[in-house]
Amino acid sequence: MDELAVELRGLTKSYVRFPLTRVPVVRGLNLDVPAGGVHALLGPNGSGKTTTLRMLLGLVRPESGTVRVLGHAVPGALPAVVGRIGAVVEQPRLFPAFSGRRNLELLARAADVPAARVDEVLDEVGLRDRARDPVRRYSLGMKQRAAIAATLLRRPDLVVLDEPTNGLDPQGVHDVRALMRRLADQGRTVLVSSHALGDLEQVADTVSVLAAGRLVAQGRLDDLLASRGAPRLRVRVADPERAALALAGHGWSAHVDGGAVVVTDPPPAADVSRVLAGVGLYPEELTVLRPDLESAYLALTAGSGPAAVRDPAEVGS
Amino acid sequence: MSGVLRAELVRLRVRRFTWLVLVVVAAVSASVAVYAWREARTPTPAEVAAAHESYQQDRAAWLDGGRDDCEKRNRDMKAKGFEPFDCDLFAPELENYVPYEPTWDDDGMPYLGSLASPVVIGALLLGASLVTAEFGAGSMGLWLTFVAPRGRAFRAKVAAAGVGGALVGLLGALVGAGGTLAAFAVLHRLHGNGWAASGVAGRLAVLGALAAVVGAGLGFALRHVAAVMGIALWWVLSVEVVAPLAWARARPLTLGLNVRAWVEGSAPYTVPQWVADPQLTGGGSVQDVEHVVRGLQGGLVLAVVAAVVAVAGLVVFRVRDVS
Repeated sequence: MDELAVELRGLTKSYVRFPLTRVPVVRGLNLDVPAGGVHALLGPNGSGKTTTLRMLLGLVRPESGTVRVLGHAVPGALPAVVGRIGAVVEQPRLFPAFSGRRNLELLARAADVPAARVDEVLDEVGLRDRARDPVRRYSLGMKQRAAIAATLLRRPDLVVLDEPTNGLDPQGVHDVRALMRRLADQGRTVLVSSHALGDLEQVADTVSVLAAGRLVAQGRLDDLLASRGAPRLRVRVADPERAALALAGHGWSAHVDGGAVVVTDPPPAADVSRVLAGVGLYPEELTVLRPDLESAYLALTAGSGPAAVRDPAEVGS
Repeated sequence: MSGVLRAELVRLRVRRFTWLVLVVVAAVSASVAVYAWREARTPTPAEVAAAHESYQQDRAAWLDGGRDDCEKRNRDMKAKGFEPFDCDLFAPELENYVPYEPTWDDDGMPYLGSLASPVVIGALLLGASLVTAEFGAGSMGLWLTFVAPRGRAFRAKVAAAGVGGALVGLLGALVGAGGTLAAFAVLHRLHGNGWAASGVAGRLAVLGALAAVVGAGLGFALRHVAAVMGIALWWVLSVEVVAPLAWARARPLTLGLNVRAWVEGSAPYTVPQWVADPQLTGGGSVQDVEHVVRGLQGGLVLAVVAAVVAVAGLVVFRVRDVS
């Protein structure tokens, strides 16, 4: 990770709740988002994701710690960097009484963006047909699209998206995923927070996992998944007991699990198939079982109360 | 003009609430003009003839024993030790019968002062809602990801509110003052300086701008239009009404008096004071002594109040988190 788009150090934030109780939301958070690519910010509800995103946008003031965005200290140098950021935090919050087009035109005007850019971003998110409708008549998915369009107005270097696929239909989810990938391929940085782990797994390059306001894991997605264990091979045959014996006879670790043979640290599937065919067993199914983001996430955030969270200093990057 | 201010002005223009405020202020101002129109009406010949007839009847009755009755009653009262009164005061006079013919200076101009209330309330609401609607909808956060630092966003919104408030004031003046002036002009009662109405129009525009800035400042500080109206109501009840009763010298500081002074050019008020009697050594009495708040003084007080509220709003806006 040479260049960082976002660099958070020792970030702390708590809110005052009734009756005058301080509730820590972010606790000494250190977080690096490399420049370029899609970075997923994961964590259970209440883990501090949205507050963290708000702090790096200058909307929420941290109690302690530093925030650097695109090389500038925030909020002090926010004016210098705000033009390079596009963000949708939590829910899309446009002016409900105005049309989608009017909202974008106002934002474009405020940001000194040419009006022609409004049509481009409307096309990009597939909202041009409904651009003249008031935002209050939009579905949640359409609001998401309009808000994402707003983030794209200035061709930002850093795009911050908080739950961008909330309320979207499958086509919309696909489109947003493709959009994130396209932005990353253009050299931009996409920082996305979401609970749609399956979608993120398809698109994220790097990932950070928060729990109870602290960082519990950070790094490349591939490395994170690899750290959860090697892939396994599941084989369905007519006689799994005999198949397990045959595979074990070749020095492979195989056991029967749920009517199928599971081979850990497996050889190439073709070798397994050849050995089984040698004893007259022909696989009905050969499936490589890889650790997925969901299982990694659940393992990392299991019992994510404060006691279960490791010190951020223990977490490598 | 910056892009941010242009965007805020567009938002101000397309907001329905802006138009609602303008319509309501225009309607209230029109009612002032309508009332003025009625009051400026020329007495009809029939009304003048009836007035003359009534005068003749009362005059005849006065000469036919009315004066004698009065004198007799005066003598009786004097006998009982009361101070006699002047019976001539009760003699019918023609000028008291003929319908009054109002003039612009004496009767038209005072109507314009009543335009201040709808302008202040309308502009205050306009400025407050322009800001609080964004906090309520949550769009302030999105806006601040486009406009930084917060002071820049604040200045644009307050300036836009001021422009909107000035328009409210101008509309009130156009409809109310224009209508009143027209009433007196059309009905041939425009004896006086009609151009004074244009001065009132300018002062109403400034008043509207200041009220809208106060509304926007309170909006930034409180974030809810209901809270803004609650504070405004509290101010009226406690500071404008109760405080002068408890401490009469606070009267020149009340906003109502300063608004009147600004719009009408001056506003008199009385303060109970000990007035020494030169004929009595060390003697005297407590009397209501009249003072006057000048127009410029009123304008300065209003400007200071608007500035203080705006700064308070800016400080709160810069410090508080935005969701």
